[in-house]
Formats: sequence, C-alpha cells, structure tokens
Amino acid sequence: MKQHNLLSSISFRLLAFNILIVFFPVASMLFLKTFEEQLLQSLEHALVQQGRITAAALSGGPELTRGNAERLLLRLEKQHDARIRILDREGRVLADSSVLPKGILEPASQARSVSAPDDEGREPSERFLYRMASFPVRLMRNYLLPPAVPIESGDFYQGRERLLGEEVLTALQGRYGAVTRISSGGQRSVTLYSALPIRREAQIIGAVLVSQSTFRILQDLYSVRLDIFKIFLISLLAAVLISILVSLTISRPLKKLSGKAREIFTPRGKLQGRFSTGNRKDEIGELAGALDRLTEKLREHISFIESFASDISHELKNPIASIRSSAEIVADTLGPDNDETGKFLTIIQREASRMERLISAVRDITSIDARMEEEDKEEVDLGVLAGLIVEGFKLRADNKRISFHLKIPEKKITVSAAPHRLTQVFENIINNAVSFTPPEGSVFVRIYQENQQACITVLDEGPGIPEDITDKIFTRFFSSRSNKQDFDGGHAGLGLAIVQAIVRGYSGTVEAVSKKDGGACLTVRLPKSVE
Amino acid sequence: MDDDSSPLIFCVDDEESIRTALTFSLNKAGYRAEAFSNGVEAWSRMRKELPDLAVIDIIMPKMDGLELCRKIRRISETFPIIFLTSKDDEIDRILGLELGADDYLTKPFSMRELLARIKVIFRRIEAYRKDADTGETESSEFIIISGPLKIDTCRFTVTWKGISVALTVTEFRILEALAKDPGRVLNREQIMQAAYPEDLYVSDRSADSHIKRIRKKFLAADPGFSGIEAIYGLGYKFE
Repeated sequence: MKQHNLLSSISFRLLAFNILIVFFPVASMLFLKTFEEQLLQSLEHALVQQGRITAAALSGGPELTRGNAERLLLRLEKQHDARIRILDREGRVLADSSVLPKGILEPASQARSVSAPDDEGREPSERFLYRMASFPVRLMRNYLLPPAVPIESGDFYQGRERLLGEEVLTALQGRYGAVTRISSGGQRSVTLYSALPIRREAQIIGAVLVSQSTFRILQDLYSVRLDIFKIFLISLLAAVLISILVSLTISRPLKKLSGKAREIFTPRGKLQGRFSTGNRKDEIGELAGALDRLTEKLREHISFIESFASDISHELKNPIASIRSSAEIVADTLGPDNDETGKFLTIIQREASRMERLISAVRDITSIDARMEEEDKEEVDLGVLAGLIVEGFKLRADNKRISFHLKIPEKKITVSAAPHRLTQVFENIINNAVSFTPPEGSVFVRIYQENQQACITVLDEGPGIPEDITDKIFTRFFSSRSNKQDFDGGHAGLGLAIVQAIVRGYSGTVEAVSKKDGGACLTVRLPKSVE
Repeated sequence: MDDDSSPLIFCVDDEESIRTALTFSLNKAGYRAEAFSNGVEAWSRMRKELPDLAVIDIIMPKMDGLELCRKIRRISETFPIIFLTSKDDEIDRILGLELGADDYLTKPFSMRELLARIKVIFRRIEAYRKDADTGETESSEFIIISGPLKIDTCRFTVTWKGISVALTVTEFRILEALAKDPGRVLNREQIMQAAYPEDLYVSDRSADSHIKRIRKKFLAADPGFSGIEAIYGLGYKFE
C-alpha cells in the first residue's frame, strides 16, 4: 500500500490552516507596538495641554507665589492625573501636586501602584505565560536592536531644591521643553516630563513642569498582551483538537474508503466484499453508498457476462449438436464410397467441432476466475514441470522438426498454483512459439528467478511481434496468423488471452517483447513461493 | 429390423432436430425408438411401460431430465439412463445427485459414440442377466488384473480389493486404458481418445475432471487409494 505523503494529506492541511488562523492574534500583538506609540503620543499631548492650562491660569492671575500656585493646583485637583509642579524663574518649586496636603489630593500614581506591572502581585502562571510569550521579543531586543541612547533616571529631581533639568531650562528660556526619564523605583516604565513657561507681559516668571509615568499604559498593554497570548494558546489547542476531530471524521473514513476500494478487487479482478456506510448520514456516508451501488452494479455486470457466456454456449451447443449428428448420419448413410460429398461432410463436422471448442474456450475464459478460486493449489517445481512439458513437445510428432532448448536453474523454483493451470500456461505459450517458428527452427524455454519472482521466458525464431500489436496479442480473438487453421488446439486467438487470465489470477504478469534480431520473447512472471 | 423383440429406447429432448437425428440413428442401428419433447410427455408414457433404455436431455421445459430421472428411479433403481447435457459443468452436479446415470454425453456429441455407449450398456446388462440365469463365472479372457484392481471388460465392471466400484462408461474406458499398461503415462488427448473411441473431435479439456471423479469413486471404496498418479504437464498413469 502506498504511504500517503504527509504534506498532501487532508489532515495535515487542515492542521496547518487552523494553526495559521490562530496566528492572527499574534500578528495583532505586533500591532500593539503601534498602538503603544499612539498612546504615548496622546499622553504627551495631554501633558502639554495640562501644562498650558496651568501656565495660562498663572500668567493671567495674581502674583506667582507659593500660596497662589498651591491654590491653583487644588482647584485643578479633579481635572488632571499628572504630577504638576510650578516653578519660579529660578527653578525652585512653588507647588507640587503630589505633595499637597493629604486627603485633599490623592496621587493617582500611588493609588495604582498596588497593581504594579512588576512581577509581584501577578499569578505565577501568568508571569510564566508572559515570559514565554515575550521571550522572542526580548531576544530580539537584546540581540537585534541597536543599543538605545541611555536616558536619565526619574530620580533626577530627587532631593534637589532647584529643578534645573534640561526641559525646565528650555521652558525658562520661553520654549517648550520635554524629556523622558526612566521612572524611579526600578519600574520598567518611563516618565515623560514636559515643561512650559509662565509668561506675564512678555516676561517669563516661572515654569510649569508636568510629568506622568507611562506606567499605566504599559500596564494596560501588558494585560492586553497577556490576554491575546492566552487567546492564542486556547485557539492553538482548539486548532489541534479541531484538526484531530476533522481528521477522525473526514480523513480517517476517507482513508478507510480508499483502502476498501483497493481491497474490493481481488488480484483476479473479482469483486469481494462491499463498502460499508457505517450508517453515516454525511457526505462520506453518501460517497460510501454511491461506491457500494457502483460495485453492486459492477458485480451484476460481471455475473451477467459470466452467465451470458454460459447461456450462449449452452444455446449454441444444441444447434451444433444437430448439425454434427446430421452430418454424421448423412456420412454413414452415404457410405465410404462417396468421396466428394464425404469431403464436405468432414468439413461440416470439423467446423462444427471447431465452433464447439471456441464456445467452450469463450466460456472458459469468462469463468476462469471463478474456476481458479475453487482449484487446489500445490507447490509446483517450475523446472520439473517445464522439463516434462518440453519433453512432451519433443515427443509430439511434428512435421516442422523444431528443436527445443530448455534452461533451468540449479536451485529449485516453486510456485503455488494448480499444476494443470501452469501446464496450460506453458503449453499455450510454447504452442504459440511453435506456430510462429519456421521449420527446423528452435524454441528456447528458460526458467529463472528475478526479484523474488519466478520467471518463464519462451523465445521463438519467428518474425517477432510488430511494435503496434504487442499489447493486442493478449486480447481475445486477436491473431496475427494469416491462416488460423495452422494453429493446433482450436483456441485460435484465445491461447494467450487464457495465459493472461491465468497468470493474473496468480497475481503475476505476462509480457511480450520482440527481439531485435527477430523472434518474439514472452515472459511470464509469477510470485515465487517462500521456502 | 423394427420388430418387437429389438430393444426399445426413449429419447427425451426439447430440440426437434436432435430428436429426429436420434430416432433415425437408433432405428438404423436396429433399436426401436420413441421421442418425447419434455419430461412430462415421457413420464406419462413411461408410467405405462418402461423401455429398455432412455436418452434424456437435462435442460428441458416443463419437467427437466433430473426430475424425470428421480421419478424413474422410484420405479426402477437399475433402469439404464444416458444423460445428454450442453453444460459440461453440469456433469458434476448430476453425479453429485447420485441419480445413478449409467453415462452422460456433452453436446455436441457424436452419434456413433452414443450408439457405441448404448451397446456397452446393453452388454453390461446382458452379462449380469446371464450371471443370474446360469451362474456362469466371468471368463478370464475379458479380465484385466492389476494388483488389487480387477476390470471385467465384458461386463464393464470394476472391483478394487474386492469392492465393486460403479463407473460410467466414460470412466470405465479411461480406467481400462490406464490399467492396461501400468506405469505408462497417458496424456489428456490419449485419455479422451480412450473414453470416446468413436468421436474424432473430442476436446481434452474435461480429462482432468473425469480423472478426479474416478479417484473420488475409488477413494469412497478405499480411503487409502492412490493408484492414479498425475504427472503434471504430461498426464496420468496407473501404478
């Protein structure tokens, strides 16, 4: 049985397809990178807006003092979640939203720090999942991406009285300044700092420093990534399960059907067994049903042909019997003196007999499979059998004086078959060779073993087989002889067809080759018996 | 020759031309012949009077040959019957039914062959009758003895280790040919020629099944029988 190529099997393709679908969430994970950038941009934008509002409020209001600044921040309390620091023109902090009296303003960042994106506070399994999923990304970051420009730590302003960071200096010069620093506390997030000048009548009186950690964005992204990865894992599992299920419900039954289709024909070309639908109501059940009906029709057809041949032969035998006995009676009545009439009566009888043989041969060939099934097989030594048959041919009085040459191997080659069938094979192919060999020519019979097969070749010295008919010579009633009556045995045109039917019945092959230097070579290959 | 003392033979066949040929030939050979086209006709006549022999075709409308044979067997177990058949694989079936056919011929058969067989059967009956009447023992000139096998070519009877084996005429002739010359191999052609001496155009295809049947009959009499040996490729010999 031919092993299916893994890549071409339906099961494999289904699995591949399903897995491919599953990878779409992974692709969306990559898209998150863009999403993150957008989030950061809008975060910065919000920071700047808040800074502007604060700066605008201060520039138009009363004098920039610590009290005024704190009041303003308190008023803004509910409208911002960034840390806002108001600085005077020296960079000193006048007010800081994160250090306003407690109870008045709850710093948003601290409240959320309970669910930090760090390893603590997460289920260990989730941490493992995230690490597993991010492993390739980390690999890429570590080895593939160019080293990033080192950025300052968020501790930059820690403990300083005058906050003169780059962005503040820029703001105090009247421009917008922005800097990104790594968040303090060993977090993986960064903090965005934006500084905006506070102007009063073209004078820069101070600056507003707005800062916010990207921690929340990262946290959100983290949980989204984790969810996507979870979905991915579940879909992968589902894909595998679905593939197995599909394979069980589609591929396996289909495989079973095709196996059955191969088995249903015995080597003899007989139909054996049937397709079971297994009560399936789906398309496969339908296919099995259709195949079953098809084989049933074939079976009917084959048995029709067999019984037709049998009926025909039966029906034709009666008229032939009448012709024959009538001719005999006439011959007997006329007596031996009547030469002319006697000659024709002999022709009538001979031809009636030939017709009978042909009818029997046709019947034989159509029922050869059924008959062979009933016959007992024996271990037949091909060398011995060939020797006996060739001996028989030598003994036959033959006016053509053909010489026979037999070559058999020293090692015994046995074939499991009914001896008289093998005899039929030998006799028909040797007969065929004899009929084509010119007088005083030779016929060579050789027995040998090749690839665990027992081979019989019969070579004659005849004209060979024209290229265009090598396939046809095994066809029923095909004969290239100009005069069929040359052929002894009355099987004109059926001898080789019978050989083929028998050889196929034993799972063998028969082939005819024309030799370059003239002569036809028939080779029969039969499975050798195991010793 | 158509006087009342000559044997009466019934021919039962649905083919008119075969009936004609049969009655003509039988009459010519000195027998009285009556022809019937089916089993029903033949049976209604036979109930009144059994002939000396019947030639019966197997496949016929209304009542086939086998049915007719069964009916005849109820009246007479030894009544000689020759079957005609156009299906040669039918022979095994007929014999399997053990209807006690004395012989059978497959169509198309040779009329001379049929007449020869009828003669053999009458001779067999005659020999039995003589035995019963006069108690005369078999004359040795017609006896072939080969080991435990004894063939009486006059009575057409065979015994193996003293047990009689009932053979049809075909089988008898084949056995006779083999036993006459123990050890000699006869090929299929020769075997069929021995079985059908009057038929010039007999095919050798059924030789194997005849041999098979002979063996089976001997095996029934003696399970250890191995007298007929197949020499594959060549034919058979008696040892």
